Amino acid sequence: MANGDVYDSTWVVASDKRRDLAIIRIKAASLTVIPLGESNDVEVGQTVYSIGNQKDFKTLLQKGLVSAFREANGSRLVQVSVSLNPGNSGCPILDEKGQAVAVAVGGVQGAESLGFAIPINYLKGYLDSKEEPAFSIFAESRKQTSVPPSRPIETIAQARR
Amino acid sequence: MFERFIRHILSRWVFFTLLVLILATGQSLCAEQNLRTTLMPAEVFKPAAPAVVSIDCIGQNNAKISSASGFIIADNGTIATTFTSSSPARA
Repeated sequence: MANGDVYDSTWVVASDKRRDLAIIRIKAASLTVIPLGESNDVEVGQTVYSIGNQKDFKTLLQKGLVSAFREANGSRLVQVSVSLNPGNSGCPILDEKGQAVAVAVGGVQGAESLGFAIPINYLKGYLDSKEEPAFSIFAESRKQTSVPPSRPIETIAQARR
Repeated sequence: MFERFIRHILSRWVFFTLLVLILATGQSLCAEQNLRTTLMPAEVFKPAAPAVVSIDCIGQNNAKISSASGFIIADNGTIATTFTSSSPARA
């Protein structure tokens, strides 16, 4: 956590392999929250921000623009002019109101300011769902998550075929 | 007669001036409120930064294998991240 707290137990509440999204839980309460925005209102040319971690550098702020919308394997991708490097995967893409409008999924290696993110509305669908969690793992274990570095768009496209 | 006419004109002028001032003030307040919906970068960062988390993959020897990001979307500990960040490590 940004305040230095470490949580070892993590549960996957919902996941979407196709769109590279997941919702996990930790045992905590009264945490600071990033409000979710409306990704359908996002427009090309709009200013966006990313706050993520890169290597040992925590909570780095980057500013960019929405460059385009792409489609890959049945889902939309928001292309942003933000450098999404290893460690940024999963970080929020915020609009100028400070609301999360997308989740960063990766960038193109070797290219600067070329990142891709999944619109937040895909995630909202899981939050609105009253279904039971798809699966629950990682209980009381620290060796849980596999976090590959941000992948190039070619890799993302391959993974979705 | 003339004095009454002047008073009448002046009172109307004062009334319209006040009306214009009130309308202008209202408009500028509305414009300011609209502007405030667009935050400065520091204003975006400050409230959001504490909600950004690091998701680490810890290996069997307790060493960090890799790291990704996520962000808290509910105060009960619900975190949004990528599927690849949440997948279990392969042996």
